[in-house]
Amino acid sequence: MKFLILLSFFLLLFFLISQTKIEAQVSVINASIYQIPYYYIIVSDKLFEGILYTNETGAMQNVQYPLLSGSTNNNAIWNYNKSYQTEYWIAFMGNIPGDICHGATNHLCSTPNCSGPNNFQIDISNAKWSSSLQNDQNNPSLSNAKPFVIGFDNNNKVSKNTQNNTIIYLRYWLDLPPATPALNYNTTYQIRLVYAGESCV
Amino acid sequence: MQVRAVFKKLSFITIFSLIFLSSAYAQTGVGIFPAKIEIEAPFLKNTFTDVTIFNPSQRELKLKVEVYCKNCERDVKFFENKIGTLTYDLDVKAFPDTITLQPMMEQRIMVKFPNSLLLKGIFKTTIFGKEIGIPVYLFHFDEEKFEYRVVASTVSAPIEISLVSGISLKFLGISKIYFILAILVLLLIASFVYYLYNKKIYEKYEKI
Repeated sequence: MKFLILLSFFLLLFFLISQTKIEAQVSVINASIYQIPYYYIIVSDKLFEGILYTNETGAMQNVQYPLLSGSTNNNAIWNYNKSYQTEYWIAFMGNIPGDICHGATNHLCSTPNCSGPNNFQIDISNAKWSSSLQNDQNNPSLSNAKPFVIGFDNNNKVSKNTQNNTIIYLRYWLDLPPATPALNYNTTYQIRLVYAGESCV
Repeated sequence: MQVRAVFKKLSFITIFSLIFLSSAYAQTGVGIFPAKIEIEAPFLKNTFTDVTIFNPSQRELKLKVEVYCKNCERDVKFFENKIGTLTYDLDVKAFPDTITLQPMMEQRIMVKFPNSLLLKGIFKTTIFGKEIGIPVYLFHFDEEKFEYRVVASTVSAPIEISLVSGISLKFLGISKIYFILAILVLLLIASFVYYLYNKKIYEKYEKI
């Protein structure tokens, strides 16, 4: 009797299992690659050290010599290396284009924050810059140089609509007005990356 | 939704792998993603978004993070004449606001957009040649569009490098229709209460 009950139970179980349909519903995945816009810049070591100006002789030796009052187009130290190439560059990478701007936070001042009665300043427009995608003796060239501005120069961007893997080479020069006192003058150089077409300020 | 989240995560990993593999440069650099964000801030809720700042170089970087609005200042006109400006203050915060990034590391920055019933603003105008600012609280209807920027800048460095991530914010407010309906309902209730009150007084005097 027990055997019959067990047998019928197993038969019922078998019947139920055989009747059970296992349906795996494969959902349709409408997946597209989710592209996250990103960008970054790399600044050369020499540029990150800051822009130090020297006279022309110094430029060839990459040594900062005192500048002469009234002199013009004094080179930044790494405008030319031994191969006559600039060591100042900014590299742009990203999956969307970007614009790069630069400028100075203040005029070139002899005291911190340009304050105090002993402060002498050189107008920042005496500092000039030029950019190029080529790096040789003639590029970036002095003939294309533009004066620096305070803040970010939105009218003269370093690079517009910059595409992935672009290296922008830079050179800097400084004019000294006559009768400039022999002091150390400083400001902060600033670089800003925004997406293409956007204002830097 | 889950699929989208997985793809987002995969994209993050892919981006990082590509960035760090391609960082043959040992110089100083900084990056940000997403460089552009479009978000919607629902009414009466806090909305969060995040941007990631990364250091693809071999140098440690100290950065400060600021959030500011590009178009929060709007002209206030009276019969086509400008009488002042209204500057919205949405109390947007970024956390953390200062970070130190080790080489090849990244940091997520959380940005919070609170959307309360009333929007705080400062109305600035000039009276007798003197500029004054009056704090105001305003209802905001349907949707307002704001352009925000998350700016990460290097600090304590010989030069300042900054990157911008743009946030287009659709700030949802009260629906104008619902607001008008709510006012109508309130008026109806008020007039009904007033009617009952009058009726009571009437009945009181009738008894006398």
